[in-house]
Amino acid sequence: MSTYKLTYFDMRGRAECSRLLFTYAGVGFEDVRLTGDQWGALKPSTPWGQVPILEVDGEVLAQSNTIARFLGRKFQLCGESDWEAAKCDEYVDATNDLFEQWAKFVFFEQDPVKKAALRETFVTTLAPKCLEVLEAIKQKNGGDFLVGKVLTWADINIADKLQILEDTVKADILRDYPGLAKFKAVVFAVPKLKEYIEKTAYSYKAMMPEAERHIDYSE
Amino acid sequence: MSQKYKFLYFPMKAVGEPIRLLFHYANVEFEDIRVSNEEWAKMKSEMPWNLLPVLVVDGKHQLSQCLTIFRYLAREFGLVGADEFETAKCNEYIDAMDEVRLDVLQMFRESDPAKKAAIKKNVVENTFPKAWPKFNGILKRNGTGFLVGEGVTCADIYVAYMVDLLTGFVEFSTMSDYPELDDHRKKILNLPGIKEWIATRPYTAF
Repeated sequence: MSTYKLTYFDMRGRAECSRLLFTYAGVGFEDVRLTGDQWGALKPSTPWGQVPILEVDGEVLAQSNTIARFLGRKFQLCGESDWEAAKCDEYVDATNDLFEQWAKFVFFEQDPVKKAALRETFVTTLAPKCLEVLEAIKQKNGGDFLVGKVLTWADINIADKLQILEDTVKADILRDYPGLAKFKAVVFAVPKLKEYIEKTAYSYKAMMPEAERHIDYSE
Repeated sequence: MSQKYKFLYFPMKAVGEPIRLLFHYANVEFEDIRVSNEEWAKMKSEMPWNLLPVLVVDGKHQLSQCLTIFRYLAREFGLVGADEFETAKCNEYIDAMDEVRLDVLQMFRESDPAKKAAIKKNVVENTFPKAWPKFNGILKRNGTGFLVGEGVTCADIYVAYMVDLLTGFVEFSTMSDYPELDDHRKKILNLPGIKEWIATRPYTAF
């Protein structure tokens, strides 16, 4: 049995997928959440000057996607073949691209006019392009999940991302993608995840502007 | 006889070339399809994410996303280290190198000459001097001449290729400050299979 220590900031961000994977797999881990001062002290000793890092029996692994992918393998959440494992990777990589765009207007762009313009492009063009493909993948795969017949780490990773979109971009962003809305609900209804969500009040809403929280269905 | 593997990408190196290098190093035959702009306009809507590269296996199974394809083939060809932790270390180094690549990519995305020059300056003065010592340090600590474990892995191929490609874009002349990384680059690009391919592949600027 390996010992695991996951170190990140006290937020969901790039570590939440890994926390969800530990929770789903029922594997214990030390969930270290750094204060600003602690981060300042730790940063020089991290491999790339970043968190999250995962210590596995004392050996350090860095890069959030690598960590999640590694846990997916360790907990046998990569589907039932190397090909299915590759499809997991493909869908996670493709949605990562979308989140690079998301980060631009949520975090990086400070000018309010440019921010609003980037958000508009994201909502009207970039997100639909990605969500349409995901919706088609879900429908074509049949069943509850994105890859094969069993829950994979890609399902957990992407359900988490869809939640981020709902909580921080547009509460009804999945309105045109019923397959994805159902998919997210199924993933988060899985008993261990459901318990975690209720216990931790799982939400990214704190990042979302007040004005967007009201869903207007009047059209 | 049709090939088991068909690899579709544009006529360039960029993010497709690491995959080609894997095939050549592993000595596995594949159809190296280079898609022209006219052909792309016609086929784009048929590709899963409207993107290249795409790998087609046995004429019907499609895989997208350059790093996904790279990782999948690396596993197929036994180039992912000795256990899952070593595989994860390979992935970590590939991810970290990809962050460097994205910094350099901004140079090509920016059309304004003054902003372009500023990005290039940042790459030369910040991005490379922060990244290269880290990779150099990993090589020194591992002590085998390879990034992970005892032999060649996909991480060696990705890192050596990118160091070569990216420093070439900015005429970065101080690789001698990172001797282990520079030696590694030369060694990997001279591996059998890779060396011959580099000598004979079609010339492309990127």
